[in-house]
Amino acid sequence: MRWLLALAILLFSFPAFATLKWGADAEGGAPYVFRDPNAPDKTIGFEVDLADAIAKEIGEPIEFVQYEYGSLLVGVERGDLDFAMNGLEVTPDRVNRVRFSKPYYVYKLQLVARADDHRFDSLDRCAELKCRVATLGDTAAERLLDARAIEKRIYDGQSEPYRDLALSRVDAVLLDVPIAVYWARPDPKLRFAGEPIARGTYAIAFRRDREALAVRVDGALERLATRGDLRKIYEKWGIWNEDQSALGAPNDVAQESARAWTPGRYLPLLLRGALTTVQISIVSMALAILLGLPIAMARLWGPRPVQWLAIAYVEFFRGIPVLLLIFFLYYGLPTVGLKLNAMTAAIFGFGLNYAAYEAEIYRAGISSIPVGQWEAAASLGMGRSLTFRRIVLPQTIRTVLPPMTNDFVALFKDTSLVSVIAVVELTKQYQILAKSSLKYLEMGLVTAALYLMISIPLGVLSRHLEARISKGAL
Amino acid sequence: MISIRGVKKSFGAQVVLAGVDLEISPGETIALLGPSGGGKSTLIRCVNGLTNFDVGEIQVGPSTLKPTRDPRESRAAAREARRQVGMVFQDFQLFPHMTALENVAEAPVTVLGLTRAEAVERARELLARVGLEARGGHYPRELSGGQKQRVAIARALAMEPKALLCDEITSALDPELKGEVLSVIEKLKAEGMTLILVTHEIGFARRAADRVAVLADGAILELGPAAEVIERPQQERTKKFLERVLG
Repeated sequence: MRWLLALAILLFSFPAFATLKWGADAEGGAPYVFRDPNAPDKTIGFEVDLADAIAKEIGEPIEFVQYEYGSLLVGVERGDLDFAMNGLEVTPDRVNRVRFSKPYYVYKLQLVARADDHRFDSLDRCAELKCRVATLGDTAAERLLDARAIEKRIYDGQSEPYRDLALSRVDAVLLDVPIAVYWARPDPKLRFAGEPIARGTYAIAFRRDREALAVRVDGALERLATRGDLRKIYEKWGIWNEDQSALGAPNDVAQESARAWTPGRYLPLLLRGALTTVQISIVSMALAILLGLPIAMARLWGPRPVQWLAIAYVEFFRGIPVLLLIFFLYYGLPTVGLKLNAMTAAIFGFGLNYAAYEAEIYRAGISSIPVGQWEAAASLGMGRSLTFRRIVLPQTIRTVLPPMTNDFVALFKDTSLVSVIAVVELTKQYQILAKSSLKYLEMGLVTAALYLMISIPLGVLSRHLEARISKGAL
Repeated sequence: MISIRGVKKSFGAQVVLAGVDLEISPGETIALLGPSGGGKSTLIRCVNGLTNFDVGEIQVGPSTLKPTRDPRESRAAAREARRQVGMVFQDFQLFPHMTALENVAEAPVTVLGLTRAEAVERARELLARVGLEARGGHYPRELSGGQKQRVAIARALAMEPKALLCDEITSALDPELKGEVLSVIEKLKAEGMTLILVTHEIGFARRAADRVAVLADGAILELGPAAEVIERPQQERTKKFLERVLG
């Protein structure tokens, strides 16, 4: 018993002696932290080099921990991470939450346009032209766009904004210079529009009670800056510029005021997300219901090859994840010249996927109508298609209505998947808002309430219809 | 009116009709009696094309049903035959999503092309004829078995058939409900309708039918005036069958 206790103490205290945990997001994170394209099991980037240099300076090993970008500060605050270093801009909101190190990079924002689009060379001109500008969520760039009231499109990854710019899905991309240098400069279809703007600094985030560690890292950064080691790293990655000579000075806190997260501010945003969710659900389900019936009929009564096609359709679309389908429709189809916008891709993704399920529900519903109904109609001289329309289909609808309503509620919740193609629906909006405000609980409850306000009445409606129909009144 | 000549039908190895000949004159009422599985129901299903047969020929008014491999041809022939004969089923098969009135008015509108108003007018008259003028707005599930079967008869009559095929139309009914359906049939007979009744009601067959045919093992065992066949059967098997049914 005693040795078991000793082992437990050893195990739980072990992390205290272990390497420092550095959190960053390597998913599409070039040139900060990303998977080496030539050796995908290796993580590289200028921040990886910087972490190595810091580890050497403070004499403690540093270990990279993959952590979702938007949750980095939460990870620091929860103690999952010893620090976060991932191009975190020093903003008033963040200064209030974490202890920032001295700056390790001075960034600016670079506006990028298509090479053949010469309408604008500044953000102001962009605003006049009512351009749609892509950027990452919860960044200085996003807040700058908000401040200028420019229509924005929020992405999760750093490569997708530039890809969609090249495909003319947006008019410009506004992101930090290092990102633009890595992703946009090598692309002949894109050009830098004007000079970089809106200077700010990146710094390392610590939990407020990790002051001792923060001080040691500050010292290390200072020595790396004065010895020119930082410059060497940045030159290697092509992101050194004159702005960096200011390193060693205190942080530039970005010129923006802290945001107050009152319900009056976030509720309209959540409601707009809910509207998008409802739109996608309704149009997709309508598509699925329209498409499902001919598929079911083809499978029941079509000639052999048509039956096989219908079976293939159902098995294919039931068998692949809808997330993959949406990703394929949005990012894959442009390769063969078919460019769907995000809403269309989402609607077709869900519509095609759910049509397979609805087809099976129709088939079961049609098969459940007794053969005697067909014979009774035939004995009255009604042909097969007339019998189907007037006798079989109306009865089928009543049997398929409850399972289809179920599917609709499921689809309604599935729509949260469309955030992968930069559609901001309700769940995505919640994530964005909660991450920047830290009001996970409050906003989570409000978001859940919004979902329930739609799904519960749907359930009630379905039961009401079921009751009316079973009385024979529909 | 209806002429059945040498009709044979097998389901796989099982012979259901082993060569049946039967002539039915206009206005005649004929009852088909016999043990279960004797081929009675299959025979009348052949008459309106719900079941195909392998050999023989059935003449229904001006149209002729023949065995054919071509489904389109057989469907066209069946459609013609169905203009002449209506059918009433053991289990009613009313359309559950329509009221009694809509059940009766449906085919006159969609098949005969009557206007809604004309069809509803005709449906009201027919429901009155079967004693259900007050039930037109009711859905099938709100009706008793006897009422449902009377709506089914009205529905078949709405197509103005020259003959009516009744397939054990009282078998699914409680004894106290059989009378109301049988009296409707007797009324139709009085009005001159040609009737083919598959039934187990020997007493009713004796009273209402002009002739009785006894079917067993797919063949007509005995055929003649109702009183004669039921009271003085010639065949041993007919006697046994009647004894068993009459208890």
